[in-house]
Amino acid sequence: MGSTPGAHSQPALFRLRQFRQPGALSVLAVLVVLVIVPLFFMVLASFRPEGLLPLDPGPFTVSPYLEAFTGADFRPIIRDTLLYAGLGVLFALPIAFVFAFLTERTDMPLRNSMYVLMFVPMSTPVFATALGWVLLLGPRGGTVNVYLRALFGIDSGEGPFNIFSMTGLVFVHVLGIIPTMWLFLTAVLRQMDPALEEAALASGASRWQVLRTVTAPLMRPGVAAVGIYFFVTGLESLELPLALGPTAGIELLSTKIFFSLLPSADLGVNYGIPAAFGMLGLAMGVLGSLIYIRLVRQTSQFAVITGKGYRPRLIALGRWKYVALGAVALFILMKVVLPFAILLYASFLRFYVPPVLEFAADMRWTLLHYTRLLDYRFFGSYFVNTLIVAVEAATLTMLLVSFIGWLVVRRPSKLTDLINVVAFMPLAIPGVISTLALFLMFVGTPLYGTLILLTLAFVARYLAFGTRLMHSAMLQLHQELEEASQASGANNLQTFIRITLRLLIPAFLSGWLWVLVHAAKDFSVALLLASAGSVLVANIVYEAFIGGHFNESAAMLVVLITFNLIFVVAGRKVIGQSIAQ
Amino acid sequence: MIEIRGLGKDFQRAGESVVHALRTVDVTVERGEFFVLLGPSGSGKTTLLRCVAGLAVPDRGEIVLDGVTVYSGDKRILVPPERRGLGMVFQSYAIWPHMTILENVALPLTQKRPRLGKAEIRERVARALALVGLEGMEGRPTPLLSGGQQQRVALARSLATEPVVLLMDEPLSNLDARLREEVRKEIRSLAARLDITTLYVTHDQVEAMELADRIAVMHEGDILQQGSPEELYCRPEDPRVAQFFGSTNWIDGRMRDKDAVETAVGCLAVPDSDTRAIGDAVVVAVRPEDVELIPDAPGAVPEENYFRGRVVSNVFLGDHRVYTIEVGGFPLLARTLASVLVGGDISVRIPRERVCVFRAGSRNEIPSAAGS
Ligand SMILES: Nc1ncnc2c1ncn2[C@@H]1O[C@H](COP(=O)(O)OP(=O)(O)OP(=O)(O)O)[C@@H](O)[C@H]1O
Ligand SMILES: [Mg+2]
Repeated sequence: MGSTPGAHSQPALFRLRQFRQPGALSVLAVLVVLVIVPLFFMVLASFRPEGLLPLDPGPFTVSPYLEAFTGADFRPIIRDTLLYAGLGVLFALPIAFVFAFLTERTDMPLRNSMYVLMFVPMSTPVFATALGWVLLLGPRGGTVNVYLRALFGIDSGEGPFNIFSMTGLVFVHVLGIIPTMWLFLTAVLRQMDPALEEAALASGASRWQVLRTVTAPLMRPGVAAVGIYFFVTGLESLELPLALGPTAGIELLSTKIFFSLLPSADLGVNYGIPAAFGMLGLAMGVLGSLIYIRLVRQTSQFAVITGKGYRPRLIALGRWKYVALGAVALFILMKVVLPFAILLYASFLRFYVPPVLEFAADMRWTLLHYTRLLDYRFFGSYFVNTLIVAVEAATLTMLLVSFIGWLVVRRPSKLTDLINVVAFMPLAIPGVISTLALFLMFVGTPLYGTLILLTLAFVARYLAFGTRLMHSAMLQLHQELEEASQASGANNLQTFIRITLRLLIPAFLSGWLWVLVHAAKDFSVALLLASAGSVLVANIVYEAFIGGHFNESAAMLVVLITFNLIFVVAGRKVIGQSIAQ
Repeated sequence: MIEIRGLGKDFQRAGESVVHALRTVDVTVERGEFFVLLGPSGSGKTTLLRCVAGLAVPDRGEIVLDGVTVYSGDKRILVPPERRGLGMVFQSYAIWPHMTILENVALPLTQKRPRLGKAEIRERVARALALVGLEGMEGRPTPLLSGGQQQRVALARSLATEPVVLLMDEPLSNLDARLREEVRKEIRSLAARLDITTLYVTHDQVEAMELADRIAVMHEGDILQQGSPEELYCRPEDPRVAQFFGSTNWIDGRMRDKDAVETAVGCLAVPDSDTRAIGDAVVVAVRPEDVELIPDAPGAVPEENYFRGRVVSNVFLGDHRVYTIEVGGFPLLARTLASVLVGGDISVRIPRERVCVFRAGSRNEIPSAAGS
């Protein structure tokens, strides 16, 4: 079988090589290093005693688990983490669903602008929303509280609201996840063939009956899957618990990991405890994802492919459309306008005082916080670092997932099935945990503290999203377009570059923009992985916040948000043009 | 020119049973021949074409193009598609939407080694476009072209490098009926003029008859019969081949003699055959246009295969009519230009040499794995 073929008589011939896939193997290797090996390091770390790095020689022990799981703070941490993630989904899901339904199925005014309206909040850092709401709902100086106290004549000097509480945490968290949840739910709604509902209507069922007997049962698995997905997302949320938790006295899994990673003067390295908590988070994530996969499989059974451009009949809202629009407007106000306005206000103040008339005399307006940013360190270093990492992450991720998408769709084999599985694994791993695992893998190596490591962390995090995007884009690309190129004499690589990638440009660009903006607004990777040599804007904002310099961090966040918005708007324009072409 | 020997390909999807897309296919296409692969949906035509192009890898067998082995399962030889030097027209046309007509047609030319100059490429693109009647349209963007124009661009692209072998996969199926007829003629005359060896896939037997020098009829991964259109039409070796070309009267019967079959219609004289024994159950195929209607003339001399019946119904189809004649209780279809009275008695004659006899039950049989 493996003997040399009689190729010498026919020079232009090649050996059979259908089972050799060097490209697929190298992609798999990259994925394994990015996704699986770090987890392996986390497992190792969780069994090492204090003072030892994962690969150091020395004994193994279960004491990190014992220490982590028997501590007095263990039960509250688990309870609060589950409460935070669970309540977040419980409140956000109905709201996001109503918004999605309004956009997809009703004649609400401005429904076509929802994509822009929702993309703006998606690109603002959670930390900015959190800081904004601290300034609005802080128990003492929160603007809303000050006004309410004046209005109702309360002179306790505190309350009535307190953002530093579980309620406050959940409130900001819900605001934060609604936009992305809305995006997912519109997809679920669009997947369903409206003909199924119209058939029920035609057979005499009332709108309400149709909703109950056809729409709801068909959508339930899809909506539940979205809920589970955001539950796992809730486990990994770090910025918000970090902004509000310590003052509120609430510790979650993510903040526990963060704080126990911080080097303290008296203790040396002790990565066992964060690793043990990481294992716990991983278990929760995997469990959630297993349920998610089951549900998604169920929905795909229901999915009916609809004809191109086929839109369901829109429900006329009548007078209710203003109520609907008002609800959306209220959300945008709470999520974007109010927090951004108060940050903007704070960024021009020398010392913070609430925007209330009685303090007008104390308002010392200044540009100092901005001029300070102009010095070399911020724009020349931290800001550039953030930009470099975001651009690198977006480019690397999208190149990698484009290739994966092509392999999986066009060269299906056992190997590409495996690639697909590994590429989707990050969905099951809460982001904080995958970043922690990368930290444990690279701490003590030369790569630690470089921008490259930060880039890799983002690539690992956005891998699943990108794979999904490029997979469906690839499915829409008719195979014969590539085959025509091959039949014309172009080889695989030429075809991939000249035809496949070129035609995928719109999808590639929107994915690129998405990753760029998300990497630029993300705080958790920077806070967990950055060190002296690789400081990002996020680290500086957090430091200023911790040091009580709210106005400074407000100014930096204003710059970051503005930058992100410009990118989103400009990027959408470019993508629009490339699609129109 | 194209030699395909013992070619086989199976598809196996996870959790599903194996699909034998090609079982054991042997086809030889001579230089300059227009060869059509004809068969119902799912019979493996596209798979065979893609194997020849190198876009699909067969599991066994051998393909030789112009004396060069491009695939051999035994010798483990596989030449990638870009090295086979073929022209190919795809069912979806596969016009690259991000390129102009010029760029589409020029791409195969830019792959030629030694490299062609810019001017040379432009000239050859212009020549290819002129060939398909699109002269001067080089700069047009492609997404707005009509179906017929896209089809022509695809044809021009496949002809630009002046390949000796051209592969086409149902290139006319996306066109409307009139345009299809027009383009069909063009393709035929183009292929003859350029002396191109063409392998053409279709499931439309009219198209196949009009275009082909020879036709191979495929069914579930096997070739049932290959030959000239006339051979296939008049001397089908398999009832499914007969079934494919136009409508047929299928009459069950039993061999009464070496050259006679007892049927419901009566005793039919058939061409002599040694392969069937007396008493064998058979099925007889008679084409409606081979059923001659003879107006009842008293005192006419009864000839061979001469039967009496009654005209039951009549369908007018413009240039001809189809009558149903009840003969011995059997509804026999007859196609004719003449008009006869419905309800009246009539005589029919079936020329012996036009009758085909097949083994009973062979119509619904699954073809055996071994090709003949
Ligand atoms: N990539 C594939 N994976 C699995 N099965 C396939 C694949 N390609 C073709 N088949 C199967 O092989 C058989 C032959 O398919 P093929 O496309 O060659 O048929 P065809 O004769 O071209 O039909 P049509 O006239 O509908 O185009 C079919 O049963 C088909 O389902
Ligand atoms: Mg086909």
